[in-house]
Amino acid sequence: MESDQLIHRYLIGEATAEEVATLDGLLAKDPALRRKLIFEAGTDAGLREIALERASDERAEKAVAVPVSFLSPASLLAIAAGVVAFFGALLWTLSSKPEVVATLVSSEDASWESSLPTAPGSELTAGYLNLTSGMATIRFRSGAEVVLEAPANLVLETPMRGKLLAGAAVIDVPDEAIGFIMETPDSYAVDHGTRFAVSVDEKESHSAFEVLEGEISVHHPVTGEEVRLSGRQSSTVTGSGMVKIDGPLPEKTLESTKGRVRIDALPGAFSVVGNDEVEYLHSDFLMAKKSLPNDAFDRRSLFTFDLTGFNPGRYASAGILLNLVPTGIGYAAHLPVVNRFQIYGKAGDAIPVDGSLPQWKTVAKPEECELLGTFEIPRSQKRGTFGIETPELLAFLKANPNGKVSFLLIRETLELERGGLVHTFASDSHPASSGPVLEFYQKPKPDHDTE
Amino acid sequence: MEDSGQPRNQLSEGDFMRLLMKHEPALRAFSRSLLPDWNLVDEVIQEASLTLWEKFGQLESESGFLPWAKVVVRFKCLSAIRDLGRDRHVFSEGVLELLADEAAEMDADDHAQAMRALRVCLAKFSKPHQELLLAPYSGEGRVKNLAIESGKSANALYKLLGRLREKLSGCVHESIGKEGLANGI
Repeated sequence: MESDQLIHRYLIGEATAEEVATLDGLLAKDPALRRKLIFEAGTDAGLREIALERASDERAEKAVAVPVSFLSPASLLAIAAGVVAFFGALLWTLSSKPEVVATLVSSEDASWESSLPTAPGSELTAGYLNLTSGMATIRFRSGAEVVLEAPANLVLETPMRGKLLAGAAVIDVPDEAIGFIMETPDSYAVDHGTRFAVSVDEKESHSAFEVLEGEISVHHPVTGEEVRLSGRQSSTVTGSGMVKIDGPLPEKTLESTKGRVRIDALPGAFSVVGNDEVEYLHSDFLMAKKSLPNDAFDRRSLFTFDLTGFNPGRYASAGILLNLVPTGIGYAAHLPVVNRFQIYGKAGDAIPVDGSLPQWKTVAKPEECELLGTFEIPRSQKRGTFGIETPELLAFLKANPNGKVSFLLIRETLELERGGLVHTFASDSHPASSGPVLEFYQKPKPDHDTE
Repeated sequence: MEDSGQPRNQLSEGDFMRLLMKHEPALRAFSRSLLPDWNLVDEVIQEASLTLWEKFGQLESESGFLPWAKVVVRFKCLSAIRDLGRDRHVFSEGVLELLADEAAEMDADDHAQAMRALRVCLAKFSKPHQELLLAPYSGEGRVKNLAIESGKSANALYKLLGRLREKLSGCVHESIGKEGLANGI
């Protein structure tokens, strides 16, 4: 066997006693092979680090507890809190039992999606907390206190370490918790006794640290960069590096509307129901449902935009946005975990000119229209903005310029049991949320989900 | 915290944390070149970190941390191997001494550079190949499970894994250049 392959077999633990002896003999007389082994041991260490990172990310995504199986840097950092605390953390790490990592001190209008208890006063083990609204204060067992602002995802790792995957937090670290680490997806901050703020923009793959009092150091493991921040200094971090700012972070600005044109749906967008009984409909909502045992309670919605005098050909991309609003009709538990919706396009006006309410059989059928895209909504989600941005939509709009275009919204996924949730989106007459919107972009919106 | 007399440095506890965090990956890689498996590496690093903490007062300056820590880790590794006895598949003492001397020459920058290159190179592999490359660290029997899932023999998959590792290592070499290799990265 080639010596290179012997090294790999040795490092992945597959080499036999004879192979190790052979390798030993070769290493004794060949300095280049020794360098190769040292190099491959480094690669092995790097691969293991990456494997552990990915496993940790997966566990966080699955919202299960994250026990630490080997001595993590956090435990080592606990030394800063004194040798006693260090041994405490070491024991915690080695035991891998679901020990208490933190306490949920208080919450203000908080709602959660979490595998951990979320009542104030609850003791929290290692795991994942997703704060969907409100604010919450979490005190790590080391004494570090984290005020979390929704929407935010926080992983509790050890009493001396947390990881903010999304959202914003202000962290107050008393003297006994010096060395506390707050990780973000691309970096980590080691506290040297202070109060600091951290925010993570998941979509932009960007995080920021700002010292409010005291000192922290921020580290970028990929580039090896390290900056110390004190006073009101701050830094921004992306996957490719860090920037230190000699002052507080500039206030955030909203996304520019330059290069984007928004067109509202025409008044009169409507839904139809399979049995044509109007009490199952409401003018404030555009409804979508695919029901059992037949289509009597199916709902579909239609809405129209007027593109008169507008040239879609000047834009690189287009999207349709719909605002999901809750009505509480039906049980979400009777739906599949993820529900898929289709948007079809048809030239012309779908809204009757005489103001009459269309019948199920008279409105456009999917087979008479062009499928322009699909989107998905988890059954647990009752609010949010959803829609499509597809090349098919842009092509359809370009093919139908200077007139009216209509869209048919259908839920593709069938309920699992009768009485399932009806998905309801705001129509143009909804009192709080805006109705369907058609947007044109001069540049395609960046897609952060692609690899 | 120092075991004798006054500390020779003005470094704080916070500095120790920072230095240990910074150099821990390099110390793990160094230990891996001497020890036969990862469990032993983890044990040694735990023990060594305590010793480093106890002796931190002996460190003269920040820049001396990694070479100093490697001396401690080297001692712990060789001692752990002696404790293993003859029944484990380990290298002879002479070879271990040579490896330790040569691996001690790698500095923190070398390690960080290799790690950056590794991330870039790994991303060039297909998803299934990345999964296979990471399988030996993803739990006991992961490679064998992948073999069952893919309908191949474990032996065939280990051979493929060997070839993939060699390809990955070629890419990392190429990225960091021949100079790095000459320095023993």
